Amino acid sequence: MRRLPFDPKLVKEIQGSPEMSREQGPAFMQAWGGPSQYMFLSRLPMEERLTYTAVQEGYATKEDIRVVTGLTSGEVSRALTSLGKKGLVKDFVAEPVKL
Amino acid sequence: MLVGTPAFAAVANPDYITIEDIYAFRNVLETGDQLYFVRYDVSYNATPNEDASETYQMVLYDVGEATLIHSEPLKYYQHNIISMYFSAAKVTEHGLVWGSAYVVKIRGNPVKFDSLTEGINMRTRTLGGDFKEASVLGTIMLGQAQKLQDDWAGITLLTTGGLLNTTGAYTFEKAIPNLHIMVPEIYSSVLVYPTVERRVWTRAYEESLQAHAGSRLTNSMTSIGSIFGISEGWTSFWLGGVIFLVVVGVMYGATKNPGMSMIMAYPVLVGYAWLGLGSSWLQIVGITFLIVGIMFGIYFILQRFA
Repeated sequence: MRRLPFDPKLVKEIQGSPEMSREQGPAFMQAWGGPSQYMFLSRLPMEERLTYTAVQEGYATKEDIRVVTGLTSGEVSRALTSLGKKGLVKDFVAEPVKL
Repeated sequence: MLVGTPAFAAVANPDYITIEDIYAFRNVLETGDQLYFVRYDVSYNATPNEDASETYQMVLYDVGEATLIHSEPLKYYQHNIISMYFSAAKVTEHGLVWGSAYVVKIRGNPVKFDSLTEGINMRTRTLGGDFKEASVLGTIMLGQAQKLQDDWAGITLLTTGGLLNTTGAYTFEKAIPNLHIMVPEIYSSVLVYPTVERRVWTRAYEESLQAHAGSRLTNSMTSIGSIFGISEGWTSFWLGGVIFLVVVGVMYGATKNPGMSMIMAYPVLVGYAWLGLGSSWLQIVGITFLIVGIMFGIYFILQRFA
């Protein structure tokens, strides 16, 4: 999840073709939570993407997020603040977890 | 003092830029052509809003980077493939010499970047042992597809049989136009349009036959046809049929054998065809009667010797 392996434009093109979509089947982009999720994540800076994904996966403390993402605590804090402003991780903004 | 600033918005540098693989092939579509292929990774943590075709390009430089030979816009960011194809005529035009240490770069579009720096927004490779013959193009492309598929976890490019599936075909065809013609065997399905020869049919033979009838006979058929409001062709057809049946009847009266009587009346049809009367209609009838005649002939022979 640290890097985006392919251009989200390619995902759009595959989705735009019924034949290619059918061929890819249910496993298509599963690792990324589906095509829409990949396209959404591809617009986020890496720190925010990793943090957001960790939160979605259920990691509830900054320390857990830091360990699972490999980011520094400062990067996690900045990412959470930014995500909070975007309304993507409301719980963390309302109740910031102390390190 | 006023300082002019560029009218474009500079694009951010990628997180990293690499050339993973590079190959040159020759004689892929025609003798003397050349294909330069690159698998690259222009990796952004957050994909730019601009399309990759505006911001990045593959470029080919002459030995020593003295002359820019050609540039091709990238179609995608991140891990992907691209190529440049030179027909035999273009190879001659550019003076490309097979095996030369040409320089290939994946770089930012100079118009979109303030500066281009190796390892930052540009990656350079010099061709060395990367020259391959067309015979290995298919195998190498399937290997490249496998590498892309492994990296693109979640997007399948190959079938279980190891050939390009529809998505793989789309991806590779976009990077290498006409790859399906170069190596159709690596595709799980290929749409091939058959080459149809457009024949121009003349009526020379038919007209030469009609010349046998002469103007008098032809005019008489036309006159008879005008009485019934039908063409000369239809008149000949019906009259020919009537004459044929009359002859068959006469022969049947003499032989009491339907098969024999039809065979004996067959020269009427041949004669009619030779005269070109009834034109194409008569030919169809002639073929039909020929088949019928043969069948009756077989019937007759079998009956005789049974």
